[in-house]
Amino acid sequence: MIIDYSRPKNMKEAIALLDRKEPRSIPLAGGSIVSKLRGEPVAVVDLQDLGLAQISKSTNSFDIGSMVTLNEFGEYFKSPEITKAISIQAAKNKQNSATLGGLVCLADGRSPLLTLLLALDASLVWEPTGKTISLGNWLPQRREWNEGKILTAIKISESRIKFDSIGRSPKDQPILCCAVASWKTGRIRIAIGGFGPTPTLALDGNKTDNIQKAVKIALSNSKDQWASSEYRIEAGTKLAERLLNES
Amino acid sequence: MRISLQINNKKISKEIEPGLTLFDFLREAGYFGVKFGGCKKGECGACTVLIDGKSVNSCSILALQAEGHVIETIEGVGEHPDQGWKKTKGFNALQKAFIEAGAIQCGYCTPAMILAAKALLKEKENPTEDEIREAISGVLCRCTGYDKPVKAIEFIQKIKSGEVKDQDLDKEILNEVMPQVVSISDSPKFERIGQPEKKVDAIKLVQGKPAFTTDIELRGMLVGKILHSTVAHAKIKSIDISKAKELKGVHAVLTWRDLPRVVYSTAGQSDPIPGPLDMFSLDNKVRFVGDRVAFVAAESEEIAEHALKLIKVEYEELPVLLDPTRAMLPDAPILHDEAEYINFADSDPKKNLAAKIRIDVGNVDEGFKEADRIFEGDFIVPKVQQAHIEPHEVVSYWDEDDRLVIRTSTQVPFHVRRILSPVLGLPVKRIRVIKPRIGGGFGGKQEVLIEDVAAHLTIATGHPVRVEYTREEEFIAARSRHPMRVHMKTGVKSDGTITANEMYALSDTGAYGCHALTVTGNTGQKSMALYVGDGKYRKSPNIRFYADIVYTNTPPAGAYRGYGVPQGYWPLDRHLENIAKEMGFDPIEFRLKNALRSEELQPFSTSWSEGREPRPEIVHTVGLEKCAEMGRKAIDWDNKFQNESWQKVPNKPYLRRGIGVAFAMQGTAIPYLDMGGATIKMNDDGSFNLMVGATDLGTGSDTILAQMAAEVLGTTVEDILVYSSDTDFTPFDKGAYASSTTYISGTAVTNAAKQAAERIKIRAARMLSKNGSSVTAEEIKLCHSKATSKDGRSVTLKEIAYNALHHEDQEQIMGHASYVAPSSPPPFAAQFAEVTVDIETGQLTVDKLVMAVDAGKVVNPITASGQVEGGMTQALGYAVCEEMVYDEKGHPRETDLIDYHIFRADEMPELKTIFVETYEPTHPFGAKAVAEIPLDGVAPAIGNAILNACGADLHENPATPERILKALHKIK
Repeated sequence: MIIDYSRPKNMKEAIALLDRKEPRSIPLAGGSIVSKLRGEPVAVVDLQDLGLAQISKSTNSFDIGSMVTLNEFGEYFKSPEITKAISIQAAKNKQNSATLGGLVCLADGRSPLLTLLLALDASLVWEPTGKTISLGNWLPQRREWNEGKILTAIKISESRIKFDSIGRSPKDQPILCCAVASWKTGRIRIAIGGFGPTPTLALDGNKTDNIQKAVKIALSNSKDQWASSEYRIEAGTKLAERLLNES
Repeated sequence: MRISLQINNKKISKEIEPGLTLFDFLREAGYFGVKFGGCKKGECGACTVLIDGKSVNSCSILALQAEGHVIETIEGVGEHPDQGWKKTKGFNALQKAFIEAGAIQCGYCTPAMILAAKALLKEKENPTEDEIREAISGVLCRCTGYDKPVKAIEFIQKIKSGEVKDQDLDKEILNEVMPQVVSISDSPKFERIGQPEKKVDAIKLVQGKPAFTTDIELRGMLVGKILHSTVAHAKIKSIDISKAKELKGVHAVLTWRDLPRVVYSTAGQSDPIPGPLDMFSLDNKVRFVGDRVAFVAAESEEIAEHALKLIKVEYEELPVLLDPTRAMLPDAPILHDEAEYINFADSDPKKNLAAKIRIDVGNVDEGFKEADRIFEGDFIVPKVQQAHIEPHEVVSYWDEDDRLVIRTSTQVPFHVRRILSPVLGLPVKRIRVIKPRIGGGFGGKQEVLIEDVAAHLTIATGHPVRVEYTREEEFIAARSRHPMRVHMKTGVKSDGTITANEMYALSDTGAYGCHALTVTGNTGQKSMALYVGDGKYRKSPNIRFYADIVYTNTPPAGAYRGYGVPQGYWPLDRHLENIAKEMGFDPIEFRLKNALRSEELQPFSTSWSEGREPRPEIVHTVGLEKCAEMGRKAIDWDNKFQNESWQKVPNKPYLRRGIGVAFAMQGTAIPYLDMGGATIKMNDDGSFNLMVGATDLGTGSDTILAQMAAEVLGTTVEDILVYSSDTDFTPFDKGAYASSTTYISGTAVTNAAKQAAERIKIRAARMLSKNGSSVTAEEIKLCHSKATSKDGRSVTLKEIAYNALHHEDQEQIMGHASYVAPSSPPPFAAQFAEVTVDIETGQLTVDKLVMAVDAGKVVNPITASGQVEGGMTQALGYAVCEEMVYDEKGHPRETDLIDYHIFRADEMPELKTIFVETYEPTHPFGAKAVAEIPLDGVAPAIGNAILNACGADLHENPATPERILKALHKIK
């Protein structure tokens, strides 16, 4: 249950609030989690006044503030692939309030947008440590993460992205989704989602000869209530191959 | 904490708890246009508001987060232009367009849609259809199918650009939304019947008026909550409620020990309920995850939820029965061992058998012998949820006469009163049930589901109590469509004549037997009756329908739009398609050859009725052939079916297109059983109050009942003020189910109006005779709100009303009638579907749905087409994505509207509706039903289209990608 709300005006103030031992304090982004905060007493620290809702571009990369909404993210990039992932991730109302930072912190392996960010090799910037860590490295330690209180930005480098999803309807949560990012250097990353606690990185490198094997390994334990591993391996291989051919 | 919010240009300041959501803040402040969809995490969008011009779910944002931002609710968008001496700026163009386009059905999501559209139109001057669909994608609608809301929004741009003038909005928009109507029968000319009249309830709904059950505040009102079982089958060894009772703000905690042990059925049906009595308000045994354990009443939702957590329950777990095929085995766990269980017909709780059906028409075994080929197949249909956006909601309170008032979102107010009387220990006369506006029901509210909870808590505390289900509770503890396993066996001659047709259904009623017999009876009674065979078999068809309806430890099934019939058409029509393919018949011709024709006997009518004595029924009107012809043309069947070049998609070798068809027949009301009543009275100004017990759950039935009354009384629909329904003030009506309102309640309304019309004519004749030559009542015609004699003299209805109420031989002109139907004239439909299948992944895309319907004379083409579009959309979910799945312990996979996916506006296929009008002689205006038939054909038509696209022969719906791929592997 939420027993305190504050809206700090700067990062220092925010960190101080989050550092409190009592009550337990957590950052509040778009608000998607508020209905879940019904158990133990908790204080929320609203990040909306910290100036984290900006997107900036440097030479070959983008700094996306963690408070940028999914809608703003999509509008900025105007990429059909990103738009598709966002629209499957959430319908319009949620796109208008949910933030990219909130998504990174909370979304699970079924998330099309988290899958896409994993393929893009997004990096996360944390305060007050200033620590930057790749999403791929951070996701496995998400629950235990203690090297930063506030995710301030998500960085992605310029690349070409292809994305597709398989669901029961065009905007259903994915049973399987796949994102393929490619860079001018020849580097290719393939991420697969639609199951599990986080999306899975199937491939990162310059060679794609073993794509089938890579996808098979990534999906070998993907069985859940929504699909069998066998199905995901078969369909995932096709999806990855197609996206690779298109990228 | 102190908060100050800017809402609709007004500043509102107050002290609040920091955890208060914006949704709760707004509701507490009286902004009832913000609706509760049960989720509180932004799944449905019913709670949409605009924040800084953007559509946002108010349930997933704290009120404090909204401070400093501009908030807009529907109350700030526009209002009724004429409020007596006070004139306002009137409605927003969007509100007008929604009214004119018939974009409103239940109206629960209408404020949210209008706000989302407003946000879009502020951002984009000239949005495309895709952009409109995306903008409203966050607002789930279970009624409309989204087409009419989208067209309404598109029209705003046309007005802005000057393409359409504001004053021509009504005519122009009607051109856009009117369905194609083709008449194949002679019909009398009518003034109001057949007209696209505006919905009588549209104006309040576009304003977000407090029309729904929980849109009221009562002093001292408590929040009622239910503790649900976490195990699927157990005896309750002990319940410790001491800590919960001690919690400050808790007024009552009730367990099975506190309530009288009254066995009953929650099925909202006429007496005697055609099913076993097997449920208690609270029991010492739980039979599914989600079953009731205890009730709590507290001063706030948070306190009530906290109290639930403080109740300690010790279960003695029992073996769990989840597989219906094991239910009748000797070693199966028995769900109902209670001594109070009351059987109905063949129910046998010792075998977990809730009902049993054995129907033989003709000589089926002989028919099989006469066949050249025999085909058999096994099919599975899933458990699915009604998913009305307004959850189940109830408010109960004692009135000043010590009568218990139950204000509830129900389809069956009179059944609620009757069924609850023994459960509460109150005579019927001390219970008043008020049915306000309903935010969708689809059969889910044909159940006396939580009215008893609020009532028990009001009795226990003396306080008003509000109980509303969350979305999770809708999934774990409401009702659903019966899942079934169906075996088909069909004998066919080489010329395509069906000689015998047999269906066996194993139906799973879940933990309780509500609707077990009647739902499953309809599975065979409606679907199997459509195909009688040709030649000599037309007079003597051979049809068998056997079913066993068994208990399992899953949430109870119940009524869901279609009432068992969709479960019949998936196996039947998929099976027929396979036969047609195997024997090389044209699928349309094969079906038409064997389908029922006009003036033939409904073959089941002599063998089975819904738990009552069957009586023979002749089907007078069958527009099926024309439906097939029109649908075939609309979907361009002849250029697509078996056209390989059309089936291939350029540059995408892994995609295949396909086209499919299915036929359907439903029913219209339950003959000789269900009754509707109507009272109509004339007011001083010549308007009329029409009081009906019938319940409009978003279908538009209040509007079409008003049209029928207006037709008889020669007045406008605006002058018929419909009140529905209140057990104290409106006459009895069985309620809204079985596609009966137009037919049964409509006939009652017509007859009541005729009585009033007769009094009007007598008085008019007397008034006219006083001032000229003598006129008889028989010579008077009522039209244009006047009573006119043959020689052209007239008096207005207002003059007649004043004469009757104030001037001369005073009387209250009124009429009262009730009606029980002697028949159930079936509507017919031809459903077509076009799909694209990814043959490498199994991904299915439904591209187009066309439905041609014979619903008799269409009383209102706009509301009727809304029913068809919305129905097809629900059926689309049934076909491709909706199902309720349980793990080995009976825990559900689906508990929200994310996992249980219902179609959004931005993923819909193209929809087309065609009405083929017959004129049903047993209805005063030739009408049949339209509400349920759209649910029947979509799934099999899509299944057949998948077969056509890629050869995948699906025997189980929904058609998920994995099922399609598996079916493809079978043919490889």
